[in-house]
Amino acid sequence: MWGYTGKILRVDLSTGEMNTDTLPEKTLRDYIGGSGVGTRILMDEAGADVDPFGPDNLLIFMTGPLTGTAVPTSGRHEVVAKSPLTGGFGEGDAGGTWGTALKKAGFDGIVIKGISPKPAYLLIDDGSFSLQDASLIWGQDTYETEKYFKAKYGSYLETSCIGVAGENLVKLASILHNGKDARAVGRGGLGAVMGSKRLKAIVAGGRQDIPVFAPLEIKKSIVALAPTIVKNTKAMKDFGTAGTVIGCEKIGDLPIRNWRDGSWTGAKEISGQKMTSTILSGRYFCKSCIIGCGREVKFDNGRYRADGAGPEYETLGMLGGSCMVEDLEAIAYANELCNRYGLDTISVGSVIAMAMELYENGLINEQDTGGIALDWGNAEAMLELIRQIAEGTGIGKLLGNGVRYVANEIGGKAAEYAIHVKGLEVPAHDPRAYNSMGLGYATSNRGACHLQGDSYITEKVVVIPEIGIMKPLDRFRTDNHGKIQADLQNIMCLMDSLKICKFIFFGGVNLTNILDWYKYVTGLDIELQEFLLIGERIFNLKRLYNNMCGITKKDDTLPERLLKQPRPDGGAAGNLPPLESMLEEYYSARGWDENGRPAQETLMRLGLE
Amino acid sequence: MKVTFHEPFTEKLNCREWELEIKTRIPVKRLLEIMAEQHPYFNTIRDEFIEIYPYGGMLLLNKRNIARIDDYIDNTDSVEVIPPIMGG
Ligand code: SF4
Repeated sequence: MWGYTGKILRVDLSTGEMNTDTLPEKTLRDYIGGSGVGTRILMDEAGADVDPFGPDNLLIFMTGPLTGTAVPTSGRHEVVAKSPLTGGFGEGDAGGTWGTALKKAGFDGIVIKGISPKPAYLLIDDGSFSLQDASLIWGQDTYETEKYFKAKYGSYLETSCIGVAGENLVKLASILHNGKDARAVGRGGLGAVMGSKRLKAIVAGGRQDIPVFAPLEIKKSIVALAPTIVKNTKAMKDFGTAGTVIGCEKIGDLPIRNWRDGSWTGAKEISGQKMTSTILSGRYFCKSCIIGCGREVKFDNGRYRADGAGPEYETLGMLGGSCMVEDLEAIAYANELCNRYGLDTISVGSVIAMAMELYENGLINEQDTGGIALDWGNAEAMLELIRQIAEGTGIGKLLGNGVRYVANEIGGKAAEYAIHVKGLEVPAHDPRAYNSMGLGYATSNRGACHLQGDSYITEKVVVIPEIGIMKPLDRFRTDNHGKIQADLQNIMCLMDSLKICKFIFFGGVNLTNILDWYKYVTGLDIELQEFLLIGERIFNLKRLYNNMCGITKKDDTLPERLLKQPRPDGGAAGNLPPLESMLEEYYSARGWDENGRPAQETLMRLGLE
Repeated sequence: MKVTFHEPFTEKLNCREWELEIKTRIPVKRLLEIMAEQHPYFNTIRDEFIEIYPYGGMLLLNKRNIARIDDYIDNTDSVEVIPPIMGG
């Protein structure tokens, strides 16, 4: 099929067996690639009962048909596995260049099972593949690991790898790509799944062509759309995602003091604007991207230093606002530590903020912290906790399991400070500032995630006429949520399966443009309704997986603090997301029963019976 | 009407706040024109707001609502100018 290499690589790390396989055309038509195909494989071949760290859990790296083409922002891939952090469906999406490199090496994806008897890495070089001994680089951080492979194999091979956190099975561990440019599959502890398999890295590259059905049509479309995309996203290029820190604080969206406060004067100290005028050394574009929201920073102030990817909005929100740290250079250093160790900055920021609140309220003390004064805003304490989390030492051994686990271990009021949904820490957007995000977090399949529904973009500047959003919506509305959230989640499943960056919507690209790109790449002539149905099928398949893991309506909720305690001041003061009524609308729009399970007729309509 | 500026606008304008006299109810688009008359820096902002972010993302009304160019405002409203909120 056009847009695909037609091959996946299967690896059994326990036996060392490797073979190529083809995916049925029907699977590609019904699930596209990336997230969709990865979920189908996880469901069919691993099931829900697997131990996330056991040999039967699969670690699936999957590109999409758009990966590696000229379509803007399509240099992406997805990783799917059962999550050790949530115990449910896990996935992550990364930009950079690795997805393109894998496809150029001749593969649409890799399905990995088993556990290697000793540290290994997978080498895929222009169609050939082998497992290699990774003893020499086991224990190295992600920047050094990438440098090692570049020196060994040359610059056309790209590296996906884990750091020390993944090796140590820290449940907040991520998978990193592109060395110091640090493009992360961040969430849900998939780096720990890779560590449990003793797989340090996958090094891939090649020179194979990616077959595209109508290259001239793609070129014409890009020539027509590129000027608008570049113009509309100028602020993202200028200031990165970090450029939203000030605005998010003003509208009451930024997490402050573990989601307790409503406003914070520190925001301007850690903003993208401040970064641009101080430590910024360059901008980073993922493969095929014309937006370039990535940051590069370089500085050494004697105390803190960084040379590589700069902090994103999420990192600044969680390690900055939520921990009350208003030192940009300290956060940039913390960001680099997390990237080197291979840690998810969102979950790490959340668990450190929780620890600070536990300390403030006497639920833990200096005996527990090994003498660290976990005061709000204490950057040094934050940095030390990052080290301990990654290395599994001191109190980091506890914190590295995520906030839900910490709350269960400590008991009592600790649960109030654990801000998560389904075990995944809430990212840096407050559902009290966008009601729709409350519904999105509660129903997101991987746990609290702003990108699985991405509904807040339609309450900022984005319109999606194909689903009836002709102008941006009111962020505080209390109705008209169910169908919109479901539609947006279905669309984001499509984006994660095609493999294209969701920021493209800020460029004024609409769903019809994206469908056109899919058609031009694959040659499949499908209508918009069928396209949307594929997204709906993928979302429901993930839900079914979660249902099989025991996740139902009882888990479709928000932490008490975000559900019942309004922000005391600032741009979202007094507002609470009306979750019950939104959920009612949503279940009905989804065709799910009262327990949050897809009804039989929904499954039949989607071909999932 | 009080118009408050946040970083980086404070730096560019060298002030934190303007007091504008708005006599009738006007659309946000008109407010942007008035602001451009006050300071040339807002020529760019006005153009970006209208052309680049057709439904806004840089003005916050009454500390709560993200302004759209076709929203109406009057002298009793407050406006804050914030950097665009996109991405993240
Ligand atoms: S917009 Fe940013 S994250 Fe998306 S592809 Fe471009 S550089 Fe990567």
